[in-house]
Amino acid sequence: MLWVYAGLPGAQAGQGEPGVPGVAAPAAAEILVMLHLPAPHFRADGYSGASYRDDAGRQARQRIAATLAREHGMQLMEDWPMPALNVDCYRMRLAAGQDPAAVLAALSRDSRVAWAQAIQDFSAQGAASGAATGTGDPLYRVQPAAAPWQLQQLRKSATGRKVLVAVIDSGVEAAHPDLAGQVAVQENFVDGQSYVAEEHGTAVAGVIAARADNGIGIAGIAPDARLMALRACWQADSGTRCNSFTLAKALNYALLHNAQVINLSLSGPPDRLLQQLVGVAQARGIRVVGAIDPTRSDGGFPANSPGVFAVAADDAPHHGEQCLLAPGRDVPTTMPGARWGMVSGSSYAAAHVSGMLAVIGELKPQLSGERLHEGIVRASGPAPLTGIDLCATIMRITGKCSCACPNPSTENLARSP
Amino acid sequence: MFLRMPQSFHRKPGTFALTGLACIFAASAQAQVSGSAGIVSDYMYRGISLSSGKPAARLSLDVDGANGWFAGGQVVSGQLAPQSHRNAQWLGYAGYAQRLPSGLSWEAGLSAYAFHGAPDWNFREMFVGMSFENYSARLHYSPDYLGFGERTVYAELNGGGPLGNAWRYFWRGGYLSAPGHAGSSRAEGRIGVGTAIEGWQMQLSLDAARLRRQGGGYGSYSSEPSSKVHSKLVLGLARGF
Repeated sequence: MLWVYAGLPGAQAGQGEPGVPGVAAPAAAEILVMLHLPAPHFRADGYSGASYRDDAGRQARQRIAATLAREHGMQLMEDWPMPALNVDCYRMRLAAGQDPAAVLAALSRDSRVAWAQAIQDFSAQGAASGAATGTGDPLYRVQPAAAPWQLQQLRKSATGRKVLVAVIDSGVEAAHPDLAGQVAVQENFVDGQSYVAEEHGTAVAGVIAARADNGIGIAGIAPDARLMALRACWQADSGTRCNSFTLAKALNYALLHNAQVINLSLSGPPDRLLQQLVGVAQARGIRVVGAIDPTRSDGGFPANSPGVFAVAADDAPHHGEQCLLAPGRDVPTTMPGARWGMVSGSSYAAAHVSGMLAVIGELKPQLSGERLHEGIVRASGPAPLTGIDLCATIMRITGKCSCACPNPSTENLARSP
Repeated sequence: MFLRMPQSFHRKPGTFALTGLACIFAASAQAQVSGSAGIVSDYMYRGISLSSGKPAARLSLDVDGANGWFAGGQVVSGQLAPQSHRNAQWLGYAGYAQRLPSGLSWEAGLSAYAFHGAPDWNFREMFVGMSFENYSARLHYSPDYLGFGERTVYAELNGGGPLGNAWRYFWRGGYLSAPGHAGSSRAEGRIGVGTAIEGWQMQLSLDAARLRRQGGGYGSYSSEPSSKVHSKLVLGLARGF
């Protein structure tokens, strides 16, 4: 019933205060306690909640959670139902000095609890690598994907029109001149703080869907895609951080609001809650893209999860055979403050693939994720710098040539796990 | 004029619900118990007053097991049209509900109604339903609706959503079809707003019903012509638990 992580102290150490970027981690660890969330059904009194967050049986679960918190000396912080997993997720803070492993072990024996886990730390896989440029500089020519992926030619066929891409990341500057009108939904899942524009999220959003042919900045891979800017990460001194709970809330939102592509330019340890949410997303036909962490032998979660489009930067020294390579070094993109800047890392490589999937999603919306994964052509000649031959991929998947297409060779196919 | 038929089902649905509750408790210690206790200005049941237009007290209980089984019950201090004073009206139900990977949920169950002092009205139903996000649809079939000896199918659509942070709206549209007694068929609906503060729930709704033709036999509107749409504002206040 209960799933417990072995590395609890490590998980605790990385768990900074999400509401205050840059603040050191609190002394008390937090855990997630899952209570069963019943499916909606007939009730005699007709009192139903206004949304999935406030269903008719919520008070029953709150009583159980309060009792559990009291019994184990914890502080009940908040709850967030995850209908896709049939659980109501309660965040609880342990008392100072309390051993999370002991509490989780005790909860594992409690029949009121579906399962529980530690809140773990995740980090974005990219950073700024160059000085910001001024406004008005046309950066398309220096976009590493521009020529190999023949973006201008490709846009004549598809631009990711109306494909909803969830960017689960730090805050996106929706008012950026290169992103104006591209953000359809903006939600904050970082507790204790309102939505703010941050570097990593804004940069990832720009790679995916910056406006094209607007005379400024860059062109996104899918400039007509619609972005769901879900802030689950926050900018801290140590980089852009997220945790199991904030990511789970954002994933849950993306599931409930029909995202077609989910971009996760981040990485961390295995996580049962997130793994299950990613699994549900895949079962619903949502493409999930994860950035590979080059410091982890398996690339880290979610990139190491079966069916996830795992992406490394094309200059990464080590990568698995199943991972995709995409531009990830010196990528010009949008930055907060109506600026543009150069960034590097697998985060941005993943963003390229999310944009690519949005473009393909416009052309072949019903294609299964497995077939799509199999259909992506690795470049050996026409686009060696990017690792992916987008034109050949689209020709292979749709049967139509969108640009100067070579004949794809079957021996160059990237096979899914 | 409807004829009363002999009733084969006279057990109180409380027994039925208690059996279901016991099964759920026995099957799982993870059972979640919720409910409400309160009053309504008029107990409207599918567009018909079952409290003769008077306020009624209501207590309801719902139990969910971890494995998808659910059961519950309700007692209302109602008053049928032929009755001179309030009597307990019981409802018990039990069923199974499951959420599918797509996000869609389905349910199936049985319900039983009993009217203290008027056992001829007792009846039972089976229901199936589907829910998605804030919408649900159900079909209820009764082999002997309200003891009239007629088979009925009641179809309902429900929906709702938030209105700002504190309020929500809700609506229901329903149609009761009685193939053998077209006069019992009726369309009804409900639209309203509600809020919950510190465990208290308040609902204000407009309930309306339209009979296909001359009604009769039950309810406070039984003697009125069918061409008129009957509507009423209903206020409900309850303490949730």
